[in-house]
Amino acid sequence: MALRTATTGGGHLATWAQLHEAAYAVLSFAATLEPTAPVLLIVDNTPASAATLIGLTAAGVDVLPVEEVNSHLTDLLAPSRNPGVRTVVGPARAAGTQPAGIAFLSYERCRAQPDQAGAPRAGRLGEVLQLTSGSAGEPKIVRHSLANVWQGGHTYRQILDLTPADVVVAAVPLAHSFGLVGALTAVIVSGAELRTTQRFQPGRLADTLAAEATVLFGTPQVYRLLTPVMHRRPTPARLRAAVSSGGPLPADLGVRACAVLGVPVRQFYGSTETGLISYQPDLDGELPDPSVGVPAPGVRLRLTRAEPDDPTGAGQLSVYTPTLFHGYLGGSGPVCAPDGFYDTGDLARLDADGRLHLLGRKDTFVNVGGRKVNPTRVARILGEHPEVREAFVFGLTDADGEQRVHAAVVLGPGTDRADLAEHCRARGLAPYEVPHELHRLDRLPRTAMGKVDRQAVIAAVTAVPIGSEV
Amino acid sequence: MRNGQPDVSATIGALMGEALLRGPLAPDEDFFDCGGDSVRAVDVLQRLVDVCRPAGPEAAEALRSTLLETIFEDATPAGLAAVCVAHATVPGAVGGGQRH
Repeated sequence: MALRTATTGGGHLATWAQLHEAAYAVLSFAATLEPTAPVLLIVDNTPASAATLIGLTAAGVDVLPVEEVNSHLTDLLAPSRNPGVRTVVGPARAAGTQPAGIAFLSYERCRAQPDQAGAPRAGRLGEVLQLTSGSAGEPKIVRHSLANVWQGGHTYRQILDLTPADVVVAAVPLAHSFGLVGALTAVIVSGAELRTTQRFQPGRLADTLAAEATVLFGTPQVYRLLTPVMHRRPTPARLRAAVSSGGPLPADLGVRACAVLGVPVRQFYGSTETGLISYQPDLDGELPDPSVGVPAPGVRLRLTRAEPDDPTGAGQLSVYTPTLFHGYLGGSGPVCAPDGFYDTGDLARLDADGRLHLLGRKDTFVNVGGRKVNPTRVARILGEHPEVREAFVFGLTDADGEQRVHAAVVLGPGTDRADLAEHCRARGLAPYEVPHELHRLDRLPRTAMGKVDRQAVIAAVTAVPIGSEV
Repeated sequence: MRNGQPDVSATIGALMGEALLRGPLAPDEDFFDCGGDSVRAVDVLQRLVDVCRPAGPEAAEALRSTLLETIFEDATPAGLAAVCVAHATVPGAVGGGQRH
């Protein structure tokens, strides 16, 4: 078996032969399309979604994979923001959720019938497009060649020593680069078996781990939710590697997760633009390791010191990776330095053993359980409510190490917090994007330059006990 | 929380409603369908464990772990209420099934 997807009603299975056949039918169908506009593909982690991704890109179609629960169908496809997408492909149940003027094709409709298979188009392969935070403001779309994705899969295969004997469990969405490259592509190039789920369920994940999994991909939040549930189950018999990416793994969580999984949780660090940058090699009982490990194969690091005399050697991290992106969709101009290095914006240092330590992440996005929430966009949608005079959205990390979305709002008399929460949901924000805490202020503190004073806002909202507001 | 399942269900529905900044959920309404995410789910469970007042840290841990597993399979107030009732009212069942 190549791919198994657990669903609440049962599951989907596919052998390699079935995946190949399905992907080829998609390729044949896509060859009859004009390859002019990128396709937005809802990846629901099933074999059908994986086959569609492979078939479309192989046919030369650029594909923007998104999770099923997302708000891009309503927001990204709005006429003012649409990057040229005219077709959405997804599971049949997603039909009818697209804005007017956008065509929808189910996975099944996206395949040629056996008697109408067109000849595969020669030449160009499609690109894989990924949403990224960019440095500020609205998200950008990163372009990766299929060769990049493939190269990334080989890197994961090599680091984790994946073979056809492995059973890889992806507790992360295949739509994002960690799941797409680290799990799906690495499994394809290694011949291992992949297990996915349509909906995260810690109990079922724990059962799969206990039975046969050898490698687990998760975010810190997956390990946080899984660990208490694993306490009631035997230590996984075959698990040999647990990988965490998507945000920093708190040290105490790493220790607790290791105790129930029987293997250390290894942090992998990368970005949408660069692919994998560094990883923790098989740790020899040296827990916790506060670093994000050593550079991945082929990766070169460069630190530009802000303070030349800083004895720690800390500086802004630039990287060269074999999987660097090719630019932003619709963007022009260089995205890297002339020597090919990309500035991550993250602050880092290297220790004596050559391990990389992250001191500060540039990310302007709020990281809710590994999912990136764009605060500018949430603030814009809040501001579209007629009674919202000002809105400022930001992330705060709680004692658990998880980030939440906070919004400080100045409201007119005709609304309240419940009304605002409903407005956000009605406007199509995904549940994790709707502010977890809505703080009502009389005014937003501003700097002398007139910009919202982030630190003063945080001070103002943390001074008011949560739950005491109306 | 010991007055039977309907009351427990109403308490849980109210906790879920608060987390979503809306009115209480009906016993068979699904928390995730109503706009819940996993961060809010963990918040609701934390408050629920506090309300249930389990007997001691071990019982609290067992309840928390069972509720965590349950909410991702049946995220209705009624579904979680059944777990609370089983843990709070059946002597010896607290922590049932766990290994220590």
